[in-house]
Amino acid sequence: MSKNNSLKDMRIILYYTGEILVGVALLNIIPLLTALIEGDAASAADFTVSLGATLTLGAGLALLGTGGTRAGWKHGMVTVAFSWLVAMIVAAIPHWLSGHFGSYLDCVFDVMSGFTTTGLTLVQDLDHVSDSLNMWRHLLTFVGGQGIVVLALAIFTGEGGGGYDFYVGEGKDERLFPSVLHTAKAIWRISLLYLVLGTFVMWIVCISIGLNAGRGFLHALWIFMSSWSTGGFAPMSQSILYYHSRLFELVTFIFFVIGSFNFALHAAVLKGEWKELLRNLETMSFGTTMSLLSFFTAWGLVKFHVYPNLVALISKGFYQLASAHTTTGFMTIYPQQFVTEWGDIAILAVIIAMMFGGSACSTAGGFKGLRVGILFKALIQDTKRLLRPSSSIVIQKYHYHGERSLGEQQVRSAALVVLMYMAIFAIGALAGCMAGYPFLLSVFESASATGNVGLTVGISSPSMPAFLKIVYIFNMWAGRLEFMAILASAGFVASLFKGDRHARA
Amino acid sequence: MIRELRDGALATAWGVFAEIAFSLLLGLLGCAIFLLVLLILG
Repeated sequence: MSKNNSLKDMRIILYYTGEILVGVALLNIIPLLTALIEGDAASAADFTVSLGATLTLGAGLALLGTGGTRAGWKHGMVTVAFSWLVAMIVAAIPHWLSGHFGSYLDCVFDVMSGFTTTGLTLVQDLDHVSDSLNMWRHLLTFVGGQGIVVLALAIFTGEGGGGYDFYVGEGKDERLFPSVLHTAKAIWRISLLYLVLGTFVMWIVCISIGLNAGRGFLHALWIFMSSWSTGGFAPMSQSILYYHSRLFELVTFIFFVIGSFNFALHAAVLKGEWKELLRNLETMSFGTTMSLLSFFTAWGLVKFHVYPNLVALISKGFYQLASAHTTTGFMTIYPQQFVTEWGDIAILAVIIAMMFGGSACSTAGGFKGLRVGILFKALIQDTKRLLRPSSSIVIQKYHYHGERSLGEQQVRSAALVVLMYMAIFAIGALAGCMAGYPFLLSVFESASATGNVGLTVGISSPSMPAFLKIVYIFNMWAGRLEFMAILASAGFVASLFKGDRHARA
Repeated sequence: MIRELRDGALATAWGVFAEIAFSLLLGLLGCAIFLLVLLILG
């Protein structure tokens, strides 16, 4: 009975993983077309191999598995965690074939960084990477921002599937509509609307700063994908610094701030409920922490006379802080400048910003503004309880798509996720120190990987130890999926070994 | 039908405008804080 159940569970998981891989395989068509249009036969061959291999594996897993069965909570969670790992391995095929990476581990690091919208990269000679590989890298980050499982849901899942479990497993827990299928489609509609608008605006900006129309279009598309997904990948090794344009910085700032908003907020605002922007707990939380951290960053930079005037201070200091807080990772300074110029106060403010992150159910990482807001409200509630008679009942209200009362379960969930983030972050920081990097730099890089940010002080490079690459891959994966799917998978695997039927129920 | 489409498109356009305006507002707030600190310490 126990073995039969295990086999049945595994077949369901294999089936849905196979479907997700077929979705990832189909994505290869876009960079393949890019290579064909540009007459780049070598890259076209790379993506043909990748398409074939991923499609074969996906179809094979789907055939081995059992379809048509309603997936439960357990299946959803394990499938998400498992499919992200398998997708990471197969999506790295074009990276490896391109010859721009030192090892396959570097390739999967880059893919996980893309999927999780982190933006750390181990690519060698980025400035001479083919357009099709750049298309692939930015496409992965764009799709990863919305969620690769959300994509598969939008394409394959019917109304009857247990899609909500998959959706939650990917770190998104709000239904924009009662049906998860409609929610997945709405997320893609919002993203595609902004993709068209944003690429057009970025294209105008690219042309205005001197890029030709063709090259400008590709850069506009990639930078928009990266901004909206709060990803941080850029086609040039100097990131946003390459463009030397305040206008470029302003436009990317607007897109990555909007990209860090909750999809439920986007849906509400695009339906006309724009006042939600000014009342929502999450935007208020984000605005407050951003303001406080702006103060400390500015204090640190001005105190050490890092930049000569206000324009440079904002263009470098504030932009980096906003890039960190939205978990984007675009850089307008060189990594070494964090180390040699910024000083401890400003670096610490950026580390805290990276950990707070953007909004829940968005493309951003970190604790998320909603959890920061909920924990702050819980702190106020407990303080009121201390000051009032023990017999009085304290109800804490907050605004989040309507007035809500703060419940113990929300506080508990928020506290647990924050605790897990802190634990994973500590492991990453410890691993950095063990690899011989200074404490503050190890803390910075770990916060960047765990919060899916992508800012770097230079630790993330092809020459860093392999074990540190693996730790950062784990941190990016765990940070993106927000632990629930990973814990469920660990429990599922443990139950397989123990043969404990109750643990898997 | 056409009226619904027009209303939907208008709401979306206003929504995009509101989101852009709000992100600019956040940016201006940050810039003001940087200016304030510069005036205090500079």
